[in-house]
Amino acid sequence: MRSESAPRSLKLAAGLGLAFLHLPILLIFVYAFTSEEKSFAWPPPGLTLKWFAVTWGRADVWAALGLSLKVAAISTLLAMLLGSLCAAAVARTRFFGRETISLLVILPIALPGVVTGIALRSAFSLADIPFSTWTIVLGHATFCVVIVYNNAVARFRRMHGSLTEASMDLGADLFQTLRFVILPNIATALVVGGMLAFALSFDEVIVTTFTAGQQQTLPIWMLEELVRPRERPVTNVVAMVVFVVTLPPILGAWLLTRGTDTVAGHGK
Amino acid sequence: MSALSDRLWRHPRLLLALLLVPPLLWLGIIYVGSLVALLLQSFFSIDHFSGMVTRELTLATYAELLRPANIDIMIRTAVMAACVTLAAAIIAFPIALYAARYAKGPWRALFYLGIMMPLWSSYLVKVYAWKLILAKEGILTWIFSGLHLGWLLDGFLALPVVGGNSLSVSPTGTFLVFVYVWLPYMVLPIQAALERVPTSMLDASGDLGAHPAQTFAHVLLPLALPGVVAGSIFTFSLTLGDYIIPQIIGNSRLFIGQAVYQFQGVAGNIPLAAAFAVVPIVIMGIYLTLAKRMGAFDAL
Amino acid sequence: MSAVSFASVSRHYGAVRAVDRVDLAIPEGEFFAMLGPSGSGKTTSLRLIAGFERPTSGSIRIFGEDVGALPPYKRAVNTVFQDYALFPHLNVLDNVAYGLMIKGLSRRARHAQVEAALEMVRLGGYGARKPSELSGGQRQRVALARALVMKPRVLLLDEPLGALDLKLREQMQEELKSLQRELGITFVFVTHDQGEALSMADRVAVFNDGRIMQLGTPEDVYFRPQTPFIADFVGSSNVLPVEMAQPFTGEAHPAALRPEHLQLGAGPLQGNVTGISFLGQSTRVTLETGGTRLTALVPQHHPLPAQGETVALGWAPGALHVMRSA
Repeated sequence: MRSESAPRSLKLAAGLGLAFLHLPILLIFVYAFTSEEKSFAWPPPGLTLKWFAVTWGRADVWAALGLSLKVAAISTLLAMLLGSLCAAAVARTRFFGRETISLLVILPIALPGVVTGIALRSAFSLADIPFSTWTIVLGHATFCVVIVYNNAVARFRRMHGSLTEASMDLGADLFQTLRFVILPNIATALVVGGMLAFALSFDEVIVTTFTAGQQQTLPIWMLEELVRPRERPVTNVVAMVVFVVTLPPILGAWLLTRGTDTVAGHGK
Repeated sequence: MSALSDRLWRHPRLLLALLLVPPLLWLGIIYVGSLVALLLQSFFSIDHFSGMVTRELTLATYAELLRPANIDIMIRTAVMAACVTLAAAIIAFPIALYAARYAKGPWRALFYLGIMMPLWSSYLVKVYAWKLILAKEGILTWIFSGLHLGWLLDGFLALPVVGGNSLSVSPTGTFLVFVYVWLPYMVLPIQAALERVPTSMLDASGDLGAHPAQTFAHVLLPLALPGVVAGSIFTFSLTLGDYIIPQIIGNSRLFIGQAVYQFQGVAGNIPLAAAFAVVPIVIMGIYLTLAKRMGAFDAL
Repeated sequence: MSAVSFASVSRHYGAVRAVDRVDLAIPEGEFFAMLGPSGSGKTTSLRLIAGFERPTSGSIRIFGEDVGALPPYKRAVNTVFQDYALFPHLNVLDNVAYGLMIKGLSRRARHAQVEAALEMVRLGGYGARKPSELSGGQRQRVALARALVMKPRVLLLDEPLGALDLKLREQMQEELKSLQRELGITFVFVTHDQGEALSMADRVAVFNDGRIMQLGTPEDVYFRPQTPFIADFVGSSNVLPVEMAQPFTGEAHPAALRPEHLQLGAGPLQGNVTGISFLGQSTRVTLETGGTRLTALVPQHHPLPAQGETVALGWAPGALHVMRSA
């Protein structure tokens, strides 16, 4: 570790950069309480809790939230299953085409979301698949796989290869080894991957617009309000709620990986 | 169970196949299948009288794609992506440098969280926040007039190309929001690249008589470059494919993502939308090939 | 009946023959060392016994039973791994109890045995610690206890002392040897350190290029190397090429000569001194004669030649060992 401190100009630039990243989000919290109804006027003419009550009574918001949670939950489970299987195969064995598989997993987020979206849409249209909750899940799980995969693959790589051999050497068959050695060792990575996948799915809008048909997830609901505003204060409240809902999984993921990261950081 | 375990031990390929088949089926059929469907669609054409897709292979849609109006859209998007990437790199570098080399203890954790949170928090909420900021009656106008600089903002908005009625309907607004939303994607790879530079290497440079500025220019910057390139893959690709930001904050001039969205939605011209979607794939293909040559993938 | 036997066992990876037609028989109760440079096939041979690898051809028997179709978890052998492979999510007690837990022993029965095993490796009272809280030597003992608690008929040790510092290594060598004598089980020990192999093993198999070059007692291998490779690898003997050795031995074979047996000052050969290094109890003098590099160990207080000097070289009768199988 270097003992010297940073030059003042660097401190300033880094601080301004961080402020740039965070101040806009704070604004969301202020607007959720504004009493202004028709415009985005700043400063808010007054503060009120009224719009929280109005939002609470809105069936469309509840429906959208419900769908979003459902889609995120199913997609996350699917992504955890597929991502960890793929990670196990890629990290534990060498085989022909390994690189191709890594690429295949990464492709859905490496390519612009609009490509993934239109690709799924044209496939649905070619195959005459009607839009439903499942078409949304199909898209979400596809790009969530990589999140779980990345976390799991990193953990598998850190795990000593001889651990599974040691387990089998001590009498455990493959399934016992999976249960008593492999799963406990990659559990946090899977949970972290799952949390982040959940946050990603809950928030996704670009691919969803192509795969959702008439159904509204919460981000789609918000997008509609942004394009054709009906009741701005309700949107303000929903924006804050969406931010707050995605916060715990992100913080949780950070807390769970924190230890390993500091260890890695000390090694440098 | 035990018998199955024995069998898998005797046939490691079988085990590998069991692990790989579900994800490969999923990604292979759903994702690659969709991409193939997309490509296929781009070689179909639309019958302009009936509005129905003619399922016959043709290059007519690509001919339509290369009309000047569409070329305009592509150039506008690529230029925006390049500007956003450049600006993001400039803003991200000091943050990454500080986080990687100077932040210690709780500050280090705070910095990490300070980058992760905006990265993962809701995209739409972030865009919405900027809609609030950039609105004519919003906080930015208020700040400018508070500083008696309203004339400066009005003057800037009166400029051609970058200006507009208000910041929220100007290309400058689009640019700002793009930079904001993709910035964390630039910070993290640069930070990772910088953390990999051993301190002893910087000490060696100083020991050999280099001024801190020289060490920065000749040692730190070249070693961070793969990180910058890796980050630029994200910012470039994300900007190329986004259609929501320019739709909500910007003027009526289309970007590639919007064109794809509108052709498939409003116009119902899926072939042309598909052909348009091929454009970012091609651009990213070229970009990734170049980035790979520069060793950017090691920093991912 | 042998504890472990190989009949023409090969293990190929594509074109690479990691183990190449090896025949081997290890009697019960023996401390057996597999010695060789890295990539010589010794570790692969050990992994073949454990069941982590399957032979490409040939058969492996453990106490007479062909284990070709048996997975590792069905073999009566246990392994001490080079990196110890302690489970990081379990404490010391649960690490050592792991195999017993898989066997289905009750918690109480497990704990009694684990305590005994930990006592045996002098780690009583360490059960609640995590592997990450132990020193290298302690981890090594836990790995040993974890394998021994299974009461294997053969214990496999893969470079178990490689990661320890010199002093600890010497201490562990002693402990392993007395432990083996006490328990009376067969130890198969893989190492690249000839000193370790010679000091601990009853018999040594020297591996090179996937084959066993020589198999014998430490004295055999040390004093009577059968090939120039062994002469050089085990104990850094001088190898006299055929044309240099033949006038003295009368046989068309190269000969080995131990550095401590090479005498300076009088003798039939002339050598040019190219290097002198002080080792403590003796001084190593390197010489060049007719294109061959020779090493002599000169004991303390003996006269030393000067760098660049030409000196006469000789040896006591019988010191030259003819390597007939080369």
